[in-house]
Amino acid sequence: MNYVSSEFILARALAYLRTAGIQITRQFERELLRLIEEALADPNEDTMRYVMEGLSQRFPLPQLPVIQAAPPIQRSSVGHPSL
Amino acid sequence: MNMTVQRTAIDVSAPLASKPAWRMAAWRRRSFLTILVLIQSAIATHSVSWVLPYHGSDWLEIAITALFAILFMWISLGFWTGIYGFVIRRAGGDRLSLLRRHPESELTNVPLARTAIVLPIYHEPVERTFAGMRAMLLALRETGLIEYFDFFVLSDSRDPNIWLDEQEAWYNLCLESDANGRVFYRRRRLNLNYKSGNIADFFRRWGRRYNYTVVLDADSLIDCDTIVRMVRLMQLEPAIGILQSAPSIINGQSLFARTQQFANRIYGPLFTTGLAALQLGEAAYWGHNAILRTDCFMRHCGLRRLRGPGLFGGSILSHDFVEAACMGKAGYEVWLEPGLSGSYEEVPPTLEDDLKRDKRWTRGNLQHIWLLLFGRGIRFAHRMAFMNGIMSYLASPMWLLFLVLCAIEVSRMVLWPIDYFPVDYSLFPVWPEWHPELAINLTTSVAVMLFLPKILAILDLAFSGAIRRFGGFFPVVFSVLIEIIVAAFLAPIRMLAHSRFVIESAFNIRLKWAGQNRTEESSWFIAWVHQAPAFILGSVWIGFAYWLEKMYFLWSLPVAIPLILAAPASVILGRTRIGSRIGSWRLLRVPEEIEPSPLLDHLIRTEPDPGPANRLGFIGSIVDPVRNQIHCHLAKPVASQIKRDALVGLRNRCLVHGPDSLSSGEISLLAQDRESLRWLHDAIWREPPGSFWGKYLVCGATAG
Repeated sequence: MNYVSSEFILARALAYLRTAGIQITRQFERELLRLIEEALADPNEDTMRYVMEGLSQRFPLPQLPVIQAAPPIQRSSVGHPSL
Repeated sequence: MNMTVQRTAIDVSAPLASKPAWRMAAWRRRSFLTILVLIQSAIATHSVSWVLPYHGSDWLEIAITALFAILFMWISLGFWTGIYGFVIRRAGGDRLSLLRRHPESELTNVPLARTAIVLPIYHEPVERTFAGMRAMLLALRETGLIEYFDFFVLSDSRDPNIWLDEQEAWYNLCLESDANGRVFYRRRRLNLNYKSGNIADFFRRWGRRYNYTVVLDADSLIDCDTIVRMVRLMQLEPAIGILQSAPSIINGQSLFARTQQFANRIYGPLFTTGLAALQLGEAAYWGHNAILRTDCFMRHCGLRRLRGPGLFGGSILSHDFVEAACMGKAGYEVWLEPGLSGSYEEVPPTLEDDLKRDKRWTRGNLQHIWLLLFGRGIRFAHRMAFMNGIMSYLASPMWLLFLVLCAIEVSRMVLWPIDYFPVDYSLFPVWPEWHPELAINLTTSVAVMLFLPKILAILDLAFSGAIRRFGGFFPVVFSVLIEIIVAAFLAPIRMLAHSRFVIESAFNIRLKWAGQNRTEESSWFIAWVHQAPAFILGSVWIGFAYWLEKMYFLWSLPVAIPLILAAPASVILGRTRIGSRIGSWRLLRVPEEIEPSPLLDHLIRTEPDPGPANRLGFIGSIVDPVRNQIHCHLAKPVASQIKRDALVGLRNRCLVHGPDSLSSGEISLLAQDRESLRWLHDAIWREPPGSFWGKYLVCGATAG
């Protein structure tokens, strides 16, 4: 397992949250640092994986509304006259 | 909401049996036109035979005379159509037209019916396409009649970077305009039979839900009042299968687009009025900006593949004329209604793009030769519509051949010994003689036929007072002069290009189905490469003419100079800066630039983002958490184990080497699979700093 510095992981996690449209506050940053600390506490843990997986649980991403792509299908046929 | 609207259309399971009154009028009008064209062409053809030195007595001169006769008839047809249009407009309109028969007061009380507004697209500029749809959606909503209408974007795009952007634009449109359940998006994974196949696919799935279908192009716009009037006219006239509006060109920015737009707006009304009065209930369908009676169209207008040799085999490319013919064959009427204002389209911005579109249309129209000759049960008027389309392109090689034969004729007179007995076994010699005065008369009469309708168009605008909406009398006159110069300059370039397209089509050289460029300028390099044949031919021609005969050299200049200058002309005409400058001088302007319409205001206001640079296509769909959610929602799970296994390999390759290691088809496979999109998204954000995606996230996403 390659070592990834916690500084890099913090930058990655903040980038992810910003890209997801989350406003970063002090509270969020503290929570994120706690998450990284937890990951670092276990020497066998893949820190990056642990943090990125934990993001969605600790910081619920805004869920987009489901938009109906198409109305219910009402099948019928198209006539092909001979020309 | 949708369920509250009932199917209120008059259900027509079979066409009306009685013979409508317009048929006799159509017969009278068309007969009169035919007589005029034939008489005029006979006089002109007789004159041309007298211009020629041997008065049409040998094979070369017979060929020249025959080609002249065909080309003259073609011009004459257009001329009389324009004149007829002018007369009708000055007389207050055609009494048989739909809008004269059903005035506004009657239309207002007609109930609406469920109508689908469909927008088939293929690699179109995403922003402009959805901005147009949004403009129509908002305008219809303001009328309070939106519950009768559903919008469908029917995509045939193959490039995943484009269709992913389309999905995203559709989602954002629904979200921002509160149009969930009103605007739908469907992409065919297998695009059979081009645009007509795309629409047929829509009909098979959802056609039964709608009484009417309004068909748009990616650059189409129709005013909400016009859409509502079209539906009401269809409600009142159950024998009509297709109602076609006459779209006006808008949004022309380059000089090329501005001249096309101006010509369409100034001369268009004359020609469409004349055409509509001649065609009446047997008009053509132009494939967009029209309303279809859905059940009739579904029953009678599915297109079979052609079974002829070469060009005449396979899918029908120009489907619209054929669908109109099918509708006519089934006994329904097809109407062109020029009075339906508020119907708009755009033109390609450059000559290059215009010719690219013509290349497709040439092949499509020439395919109609097969149906013209062997189509069973097609009405005569629709056969003539085929003929019209075919001649639009076939006229070019005929003109080229005419010029070549004329060059041979001049060479013969200058270089070869005079043949006093061109006819075998003749006792009397023929003295070759030129009649330059007759040639000048003939040229003048052709010029009158080409330019008189333009003058009448100005008079029509002046009499109706509409000339103010174009900026006034003098700006219009100057603009017409510019338009004439540009049109005359482009004519030989188009002639050569169309001739090439006709020859390619005749030899069945396959073309790639491509979307249109509707926004960009052309480059010098591309213009020189594309116009190299024109440059070479023009240079050789003019050199030969100069060497041969001074007078012939002068006669050749109007054709040769545009050919030599085709590349610079193409680039300069395509420049938006020059177009804007001309517009700022109050020239080549159309009413929407002077007094903007509410619909176009919507289009401008709702332009969603600054351009494709901000869109990330596939990369955006797997990196951006929001975009990933959108595309996961629209993607489907893959059922087959074999496909799933293949996808695992593709995902891993994409993760290790990036999307450039995948083909467009492989990216499409991944982007259509919900599980792959999710997996890639999660995996990418966990990648270490030195990996492909680790570097990308540092340089790309985090910067954004």
